[in-house]
Amino acid sequence: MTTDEHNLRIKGLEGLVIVLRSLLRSASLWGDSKEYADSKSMNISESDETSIAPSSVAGILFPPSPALGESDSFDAQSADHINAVEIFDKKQKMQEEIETGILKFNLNSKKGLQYLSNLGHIEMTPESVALFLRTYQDRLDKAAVGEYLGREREYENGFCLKVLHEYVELMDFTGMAFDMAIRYFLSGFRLPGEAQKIDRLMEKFAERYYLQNRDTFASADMAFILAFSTIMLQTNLHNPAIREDKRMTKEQFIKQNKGISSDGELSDEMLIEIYDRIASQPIEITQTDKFKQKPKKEENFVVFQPSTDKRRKEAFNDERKEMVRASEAMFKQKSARGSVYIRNVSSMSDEAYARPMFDVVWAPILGVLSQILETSDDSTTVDLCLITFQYAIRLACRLEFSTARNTFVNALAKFTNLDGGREIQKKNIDCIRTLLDVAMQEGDFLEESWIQVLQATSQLARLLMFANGTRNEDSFGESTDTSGSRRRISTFASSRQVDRQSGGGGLFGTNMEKFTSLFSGPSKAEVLRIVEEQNAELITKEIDPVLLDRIYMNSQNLSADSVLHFVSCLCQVSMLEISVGGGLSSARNKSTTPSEATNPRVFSLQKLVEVADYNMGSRPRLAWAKMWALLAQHFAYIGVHDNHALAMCAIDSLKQLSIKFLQKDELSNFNFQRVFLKPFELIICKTRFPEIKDLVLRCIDIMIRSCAPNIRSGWKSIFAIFEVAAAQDVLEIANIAFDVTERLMTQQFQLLIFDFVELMNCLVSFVASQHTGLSLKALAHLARCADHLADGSISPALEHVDHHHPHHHHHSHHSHHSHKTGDAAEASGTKEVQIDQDASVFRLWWPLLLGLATRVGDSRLTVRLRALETLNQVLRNYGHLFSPQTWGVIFKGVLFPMVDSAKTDLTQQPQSNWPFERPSLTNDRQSWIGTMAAAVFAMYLELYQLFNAQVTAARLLPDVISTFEECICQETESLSRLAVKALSNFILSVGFAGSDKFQLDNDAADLVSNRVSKSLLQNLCADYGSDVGSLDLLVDTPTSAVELLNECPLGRRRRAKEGSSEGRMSSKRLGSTVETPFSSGEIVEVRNSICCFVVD
Amino acid sequence: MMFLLVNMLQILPSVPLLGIEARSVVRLSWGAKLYCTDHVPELQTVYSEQMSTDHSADDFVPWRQISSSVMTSMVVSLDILPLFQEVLLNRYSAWNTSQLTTLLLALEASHWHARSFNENANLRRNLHRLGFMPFRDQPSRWPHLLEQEVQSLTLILEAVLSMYADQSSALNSGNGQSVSASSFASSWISRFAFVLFGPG
Repeated sequence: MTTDEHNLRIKGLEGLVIVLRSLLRSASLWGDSKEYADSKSMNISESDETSIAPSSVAGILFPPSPALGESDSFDAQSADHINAVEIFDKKQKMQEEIETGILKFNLNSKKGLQYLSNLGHIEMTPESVALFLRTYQDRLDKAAVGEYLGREREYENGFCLKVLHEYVELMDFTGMAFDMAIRYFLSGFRLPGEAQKIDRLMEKFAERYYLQNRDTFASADMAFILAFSTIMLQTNLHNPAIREDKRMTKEQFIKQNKGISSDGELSDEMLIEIYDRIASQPIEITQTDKFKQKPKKEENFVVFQPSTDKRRKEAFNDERKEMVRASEAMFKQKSARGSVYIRNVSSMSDEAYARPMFDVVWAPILGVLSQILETSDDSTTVDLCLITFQYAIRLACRLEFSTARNTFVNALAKFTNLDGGREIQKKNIDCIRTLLDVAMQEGDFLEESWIQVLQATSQLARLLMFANGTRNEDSFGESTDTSGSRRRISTFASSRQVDRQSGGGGLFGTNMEKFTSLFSGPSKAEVLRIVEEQNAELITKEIDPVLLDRIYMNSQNLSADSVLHFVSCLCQVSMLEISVGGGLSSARNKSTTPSEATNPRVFSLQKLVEVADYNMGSRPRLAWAKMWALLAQHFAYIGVHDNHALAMCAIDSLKQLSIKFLQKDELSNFNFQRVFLKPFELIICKTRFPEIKDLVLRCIDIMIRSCAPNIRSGWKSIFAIFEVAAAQDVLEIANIAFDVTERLMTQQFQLLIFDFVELMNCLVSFVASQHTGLSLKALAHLARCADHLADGSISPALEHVDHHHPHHHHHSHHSHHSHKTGDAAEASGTKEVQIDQDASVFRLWWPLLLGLATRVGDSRLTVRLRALETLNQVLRNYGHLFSPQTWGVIFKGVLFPMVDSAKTDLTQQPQSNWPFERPSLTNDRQSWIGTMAAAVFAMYLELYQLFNAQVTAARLLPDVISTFEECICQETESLSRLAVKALSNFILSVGFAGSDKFQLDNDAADLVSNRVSKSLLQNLCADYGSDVGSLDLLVDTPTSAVELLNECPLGRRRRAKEGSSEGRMSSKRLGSTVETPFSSGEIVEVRNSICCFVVD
Repeated sequence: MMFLLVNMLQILPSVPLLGIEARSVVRLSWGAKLYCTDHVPELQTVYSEQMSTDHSADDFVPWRQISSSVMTSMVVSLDILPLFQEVLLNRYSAWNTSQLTTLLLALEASHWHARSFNENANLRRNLHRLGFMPFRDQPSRWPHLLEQEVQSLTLILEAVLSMYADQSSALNSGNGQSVSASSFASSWISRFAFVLFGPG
């Protein structure tokens, strides 16, 4: 049996290989697949594909390619072929639709028919429906058909009845015995239960039978009655509910049917025949279709379940014989039709054919292959399986069946046995080889299936390491292997060798007890480790590590898209390695100690670095950037890993790559370097270890030292990193970053001018850092930056910025020029030009000024004083460079917001006990109001006066006064008093400038008088809260004053709660709302006294 | 003098001026109380409902919170008077008449405010009871706004009188014409005479 079966298997597999090969060829994928055979280095003997020698693997590997002439002639035929494909598709679609229709019919006959007629598969005529019911009678639910045919006359206007008539018309009862005719009639449906329905059905049957067999019956009535009687006989004889002694006898039956009609007599013989046949074989009125077959199958299954090997074998043999017979019959049929058909197929080379075919076959093929690979150890079989695997994967890849591809690759990877503590055998080695081959051949098409391949290679690498006795060489952390346990394992291993020799090898489970007794319970992990060790030995012997490296090396030959897949899969694998530690099966993980589980492997990480290295030079930057985006994310993730050593390794490799990358020139206006350095930025942001931050900064330092002149867009990232460093509370870290920045500013300032904005933001961050020494130094540098900005040495930066907007370019020269003249506001040119150049100038000034202004709110007195001083200096020195618009923005966006710090000043402020007490300001150094407010207000005035022309043009007067006003009308007394003083100073010095004559125009005078009056009025308080009461105006207050007081906001601050005692004893008008000349109000009290004036 | 009276009658046609029986006390929306007769028209019901809901929605503000802002406002309204002095006393010619009126009216309102406060014994007693405006030397003294009352009125009178005395300067009336400073001042003087000494 075994040899037969084996040969049969081989044959079958060869068949599969041929099938797939012809599919490959038909998909025009065969030509370049010669590599397969070459890579396998097999002897290839030309042989006719129709006559394959048994188990000649080589023979089927390489069939003769179709002759050139044939493929030429193909072009002419291609139209026909495509047509054929279309027809095939159409047919398939129709079948699917009919299938659905049938399902629907079985649930609801009317809807099913409607559905089919809507799709045009049937017409809603009795003929068409009857034909449908007849054609698909095996698939339709017979009860449903019976119900449908037996419908009453009125239903659907008698449509069903007409269908019934047409249905019966389709049958030919000529010459049939009566009961056979009934059987035939009932083959398509099941008789419904209702007598009336049976009546209608049988009536039609009888009519038809009578018409076709005139000599049997004298009339249709006779046939009808006999038909009925026969049905009853059937029920009587075969219904299990009827007791045996009550069953009808032959005589009774004959008697019953004597004289059923006046038209004639039925012969006894005929009745006896009918009785006998019914008795021996009941009319099959139960369903025999697939609905009823299911239980039968299950029955078979139940028989198999407890089956012994013998019975199974018998069943298998039977099955096989059956299959052989069926296929023989088919082949005979085929050969009778001639070989034209076959040749037609073999000459095809159109992918259109291959797709649907492969779609159909791939799943069964996979099933077969998995089954065989699982069970068989025979080398020929395994070889054939693997060839089939290769072909199938190739087809799936090239025809873009992603599911099939994933499944096949997954299956193949599984059979490598690399993923867990299972023993690796010869066939697994072959699987590994095949997988590596596939990876080399189909790299461009594997897409996300790469992950299986890379996971396998990762495991492979682990085993190779393991074999070298350096299990933990590629992973970090303490090894938990003590020498003791190692020794135990080796003893254990040797004992296992003994076991194997004695023939007991194989499954561990059976020998487990023995080991346990030997070693007072070696852990499961140790057992697994033994397997690992042996696997590793085998792998080292069989697999050349070069094969492994080739996969990664080959990444540079992949297409731009597939390399992305490759990298992303490699990242995933690396992630797995890191998170799973040793990367063993879950069984191992459960038993490992936590410390061991945190030993991550870095094989794939190293490979990622190599891959990045290979691809960096060979790929266009755009493709490389996409690739790097994936890598960067991964490196950033590992860089913040809890495992120090791992994070450091990631950062170190990142540094190596970066230096390599930075050595390439970058043109301005590209972002590649910035993108490249992004991971550093992410790492320093996210990591919580100062050591890692320190390392990142030192890496950056090294990079700058080694390739500063090449850095372009990278500066942006570098400064972003420094900004993060500046915010650190560890002085050393901030110091490193600051030292580098300082060195750059003093020695290589020319390199930074393109990224001046980032430089300034970075310096501002240093000012904000909590290390006061750095803050002050950074402020000094910021002042120097302002000098650079002003003296025009940053003008290249302007042009650089303008590069992004080429149409601005010619303005920049103009703006530069106008700065030199020192009066941008009066520079000639249209207004548009003015605004444009302002924007470009201001883009550089803005971060500097805003940064300084923000630091005026610093919590440290020295820093904020110095910041204000610096800001004041910068603005005084270079304010003439700014146009009115710019000054408007500076005042509103930079200067005014500075007083917001007063709102957050939480220190205790002096408070007057009575209005004219005037306590002195606080001398608390923490208080912003006490230390800064006066200086800030003075600065407003000073700048307003100094750059009067620009500021007046920008119409800043209302804004300045509003700012003072806001500071006056708030609750902190000290700030209010300072603001009142500042407002007075401002109005007197700006408005009158020491003379009696008002310096401003009429509108400004209006504004000033209004605002000053308002400042007074707004601070008149009429309402003192419900505890105290409100201010009642004197009776003789003039209307004008009342009106003004009416507007004062403090009068409206609060309204007393209603319902005081005096309100309750009043008249009906109490509480009603009235309109008075002094605004609306509510009557709260009714008096009878006499007053002299209306307003009290 | 008569001008002012007529003017006021025009403004308040529905409110009799003197010797009329006052029947109700009306609390105005901005906090002051109005003693008036029944002549005041009632507002529509809908509006009145809205008003009353507004009232109930108003939150009670505790005195502690009010007191510091009240004191700040009192300090500011006193502190800002020197500015008025600066811009009015010797520089009145810098302003036109409407600007002068704005400034003088504000001062007047400040004066009436302080005066009403000082006359309101009830309010001051309440404030004193709560410890508002404690005078270090005279703890028993009630809160007062005497400085404000006096300074603002002094300021007005000084300004107006010096304008009145200024026969030479002309003030811009705002619509392009000019008015002599003394004639502008005289209307203010008559007004204050009425205010201070009553009609006649």
